[in-house]
Amino acid sequence: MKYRNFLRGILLGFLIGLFSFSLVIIFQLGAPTQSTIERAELYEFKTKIAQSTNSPKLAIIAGSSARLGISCELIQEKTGVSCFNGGTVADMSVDYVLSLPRKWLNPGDTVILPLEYYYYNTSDRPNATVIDYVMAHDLDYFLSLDLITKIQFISSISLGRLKEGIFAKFNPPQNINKTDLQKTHNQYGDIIDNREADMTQEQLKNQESIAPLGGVEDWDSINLNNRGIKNILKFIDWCNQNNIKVLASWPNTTYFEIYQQEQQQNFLNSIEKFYESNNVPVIGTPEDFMYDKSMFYDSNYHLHDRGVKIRTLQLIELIQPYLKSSYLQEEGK
Amino acid sequence: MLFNSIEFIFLFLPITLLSYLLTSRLFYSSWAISCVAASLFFYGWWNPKYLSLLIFSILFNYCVGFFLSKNSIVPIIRKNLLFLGIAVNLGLIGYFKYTNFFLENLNAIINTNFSHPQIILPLGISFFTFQQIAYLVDSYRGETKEYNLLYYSLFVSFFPQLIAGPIVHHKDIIPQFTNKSIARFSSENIAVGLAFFLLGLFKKVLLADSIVAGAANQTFSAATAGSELSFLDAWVGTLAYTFQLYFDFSGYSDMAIGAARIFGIRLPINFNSPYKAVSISDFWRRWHITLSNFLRDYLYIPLGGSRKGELRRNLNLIITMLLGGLWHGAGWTFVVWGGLHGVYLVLNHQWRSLRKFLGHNLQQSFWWSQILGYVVTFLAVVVAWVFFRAESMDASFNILGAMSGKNGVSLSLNVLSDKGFTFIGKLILLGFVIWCLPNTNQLVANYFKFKGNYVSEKHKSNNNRNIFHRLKSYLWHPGIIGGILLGLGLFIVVKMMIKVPESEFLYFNF
Repeated sequence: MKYRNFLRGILLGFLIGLFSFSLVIIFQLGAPTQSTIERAELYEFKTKIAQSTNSPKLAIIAGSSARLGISCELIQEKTGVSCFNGGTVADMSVDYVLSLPRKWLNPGDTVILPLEYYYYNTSDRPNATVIDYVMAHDLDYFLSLDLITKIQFISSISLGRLKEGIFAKFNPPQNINKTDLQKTHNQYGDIIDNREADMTQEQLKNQESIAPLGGVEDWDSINLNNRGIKNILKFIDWCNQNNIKVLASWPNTTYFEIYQQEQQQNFLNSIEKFYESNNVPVIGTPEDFMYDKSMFYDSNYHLHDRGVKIRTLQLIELIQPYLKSSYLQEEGK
Repeated sequence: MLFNSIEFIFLFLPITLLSYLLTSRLFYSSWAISCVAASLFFYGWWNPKYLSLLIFSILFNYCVGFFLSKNSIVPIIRKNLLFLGIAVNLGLIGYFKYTNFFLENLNAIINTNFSHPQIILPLGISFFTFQQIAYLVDSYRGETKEYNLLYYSLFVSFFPQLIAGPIVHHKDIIPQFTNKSIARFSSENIAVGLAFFLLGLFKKVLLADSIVAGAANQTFSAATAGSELSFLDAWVGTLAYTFQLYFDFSGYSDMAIGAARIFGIRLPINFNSPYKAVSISDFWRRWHITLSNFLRDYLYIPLGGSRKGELRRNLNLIITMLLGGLWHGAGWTFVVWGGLHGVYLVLNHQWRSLRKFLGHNLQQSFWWSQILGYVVTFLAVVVAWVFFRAESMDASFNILGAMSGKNGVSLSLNVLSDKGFTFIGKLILLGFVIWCLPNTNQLVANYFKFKGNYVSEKHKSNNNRNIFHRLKSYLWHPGIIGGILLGLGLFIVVKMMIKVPESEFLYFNF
């Protein structure tokens, strides 16, 4: 009897733990933590711009390399096509970054994906930043996940984050470092405070010390079973189902010799093959968008205004054929 | 499949237990068929390609063992058959584990350019090969009785001990299989087994992986990259690895023993508080006990042991430990680790001889000599672990140099600065667990007895003298409160396992 009681106790203890943990999670759901406020404002700002941009539009979707790399203002000026810069921040999972455009895109739109390279190498398991944000601001996204990912999300919430969530529930934090997004971005969603002329001595010094991208030594042919890749594919399928044209491209980054080595070239070629095998045209080559350090603002993915202009003009030239066919078709010409 | 994976705990283990209990009602030894099938599935989960290697190894050794046990066969043929059996086993392990090491050294010595073939080391090959070599020798000596292919297959492939031991003897395990009460439902076996398993799981996930693994990896990676470690970095990183290895491997052993007990099989203990050893000989009676016993019974004693004089004994100790080091891995760092332990053992024996010569009573010990023994033994073991963990000799010397103050005796953390000084507090806490709390065997002692000569009588009596053994109420007793506490612990561990990417047990690599 004592052994059976012991076994019942294990089950009971496990259930008590599960039940208590679930209760605390439910209690603090939707409480905005300090660390998520700025991000929430950025997403809200981008959503407003996307919704106010006329369709059919061209949307650039990636992390911050698009925000500080492509000028939608210039694209719209040169091509006459409505353009929206949907670049956000790249520390979220690729699945989350690609979930945002579903609120931003309409049938007939075209999306360009110059995704940062690490998105192709990621296992895309929920990370602390995504969990922190989703639990505080985006329960719809959480509910859209499959059961296993939901379990992973919940089990990945640290005790520290739970404590912060409970605290935020009683005492919602304010954005103390509030930056005025209206001043730092234009109406297309491009960042406009990355002027080369305003770069400080320290920024120029940092520009010199830009190194190859982290993890470049591990670059090799992408694994098609990787969850990150599957999530990109899921987004492409969604676009196809919603009559949204997808074009893939390459992010702007600093040129280094290491990218030309066989292993690294295998990685880049495998990305191209992945898109082509899914009928997604690839615009340009990685080297087309690799620039000298002097073009960069504050990291190896962020260009200053002169760099943005050069990169955007190059992109415009390469996307012309796709825009023509896509938009002429839309307008019935 | 790892013991600390969700699929093992929530799918494989319950399904295997259920099929074991259900099939046991079909016919005599049908439970064994279900256990062998589950064990082969468990092994094939890692790489189905190597399942054929395991099956070949089982069939080959079973046949050789069967003929070796026949006393009617001419002695010279039996002897040759034994050599053949051992040679095939060593050939297999040699090919899979040491080919690249051999070629690498050959290329370096005679300046050749042999390319390294792509060989994947089959999981657990070192363990199931050694276990079967022991079986062949035991068969030759007439110490094995039952020759049933099904039971033999289970003896080798039984999933709790297949990958990383404990290394068990045919004569200790087969009688348990033939016991008619084995496949009966026993809530005692399930409760005791589960308690053992969960305690091991906590050691692995909560202590080894969560607290110390990060700092150990960071320190040794920095040493490999040639970074200059501070005095404190080197000591903290090495102690972190010392604790990681103990909690990882003893945690694994506890899980193996617990999982086996759930099925009514009692495996021998493999760890007995090794860092409480008062001498290096004592350490080897407490650390990886089943491997130490194997090396003693099947290598050291056949080499002559201590029967041929002091010089020969010392040589035999060095040879045994060098080969023991090489068994752990195909690399010079492992050889040096083994050699160092060989030298420690020789020094230990010479010290005893000197004390004897001076007329000291070796049975008598003082509190200060005990403490000195603890400290010296622990430091010697820690220094040797540096070679065991480091990826190269250069990295080992980098760490040892920093530990000896070559880079200055600064009490600052450079490499481990992100961990901060709170990490030292965690190490102290783990030290408390190691030196001041009872080990798993002591906790569950009332419910776990193994009928085999794996732990010396001296250690058994030492354990009985342990303060926690006297305070019986602190020992584990099956009851609802204990169950709830373990269940809560299980919840915490499962939550961590889902979050943190799985890590392999360190001893899977050997």
